[in-house]
Amino acid sequence: MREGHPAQETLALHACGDLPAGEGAGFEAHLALCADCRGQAARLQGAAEALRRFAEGEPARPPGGALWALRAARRGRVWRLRLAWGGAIAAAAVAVAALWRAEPMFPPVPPADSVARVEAGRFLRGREGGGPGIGAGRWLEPGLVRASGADADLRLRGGSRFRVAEGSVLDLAVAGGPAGTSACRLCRGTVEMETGQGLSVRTPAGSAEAGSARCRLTVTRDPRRGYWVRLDVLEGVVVFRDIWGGTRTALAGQTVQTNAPESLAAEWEQ
Amino acid sequence: MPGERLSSDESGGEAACFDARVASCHARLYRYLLRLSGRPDEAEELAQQAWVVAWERRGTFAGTGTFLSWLLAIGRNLAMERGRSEARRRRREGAGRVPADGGAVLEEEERVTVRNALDGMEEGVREALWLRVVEGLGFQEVADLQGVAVSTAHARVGQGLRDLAGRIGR
Repeated sequence: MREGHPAQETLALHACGDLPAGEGAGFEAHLALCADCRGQAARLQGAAEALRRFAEGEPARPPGGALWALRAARRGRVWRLRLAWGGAIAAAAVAVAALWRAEPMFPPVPPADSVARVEAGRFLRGREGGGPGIGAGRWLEPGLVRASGADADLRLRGGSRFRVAEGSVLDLAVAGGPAGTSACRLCRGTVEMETGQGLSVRTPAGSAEAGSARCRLTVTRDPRRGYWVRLDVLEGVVVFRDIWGGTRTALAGQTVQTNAPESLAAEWEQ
Repeated sequence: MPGERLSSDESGGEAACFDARVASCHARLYRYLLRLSGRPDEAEELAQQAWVVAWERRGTFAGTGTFLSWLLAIGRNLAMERGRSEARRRRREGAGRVPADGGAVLEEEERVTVRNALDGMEEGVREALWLRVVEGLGFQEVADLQGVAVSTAHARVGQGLRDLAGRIGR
């Protein structure tokens, strides 16, 4: 501190508007006479104002996700499917069963008794049209990824990972984010994807990436043959990279099938 | 403000009152956690978790400090528990960047300067500066939240202001 001048901390307190009342008058009197201190005080005040402007310009986040999280928390974090969805579930189950019948190399679809749970996160259930879920420990905002399960509807953010109970059907719709940033890890079950700007789904046998497409990805595990993946492209283009090093581009109407070694089962069953 | 209450049964119930808090405080909580984590998606995730924790622990809010400082402390603890603060990625892209719009070039330059200055600060300094100057917490609250003496909070805010002023003045 220079002799006869305010301490640095005093200047900082002044810039924050925290100068004790007893020191204010003397400080202001000194500033009136000392151009050096006046300049320092002005610079610190300018810095504080610039920081506030910076903060005001930060992109705001609407509280929607937080409100969803709170409502779900108040409801015990479990959203049960409402009866109104019974019809949709039944239709989905029938559709999946038909798919399985058309492809006899796959085992029949077991009764879908559960939906999905989030890896590294908490249990996840939701309902169509409203409910959020928790993905990888986070609460999820509606509208980013929508998943209709055999027992529930899920809403996931990009980056969430989840596994699907065998026989479940999920309808995913992704909005926002470049391809590959919305990676989902599908262990078993069928995922129907409608991708807006990109979706990447990892399976035990490889990964599928779609920029703008509609496709159905079915993963099943046979005790004797390990994981099998079947990818049906309904619209658009999907690139599938299997774990054997192959990359296949499937167009609308085409189907890709591949398998994975049993040695991966432990990893994907975790 | 100190002594404020968390719930108001007369105005629509506890949940409605709490939701009003979300509406009024979420942006500030997110903004603070964005500075801590450095990543928008992590900040949002932490903010949502903080709200749930705050709801679950609402009975522990003593009302001796401000609700905001209590909430920020919850968010901070979550960030620390998950190691997000230490793993902060000093990416200069993405974290709160606002594109310039026409004549806002000078404002954007200032934003870049401030962002770079914040990124270059020691974490405790950056946090103290943000809490005091942006969020308006008192020095005692800043000190409590950071677990340091008030004099340390003073020093950190002063250091941060001088660093920032030095950057802006270049």
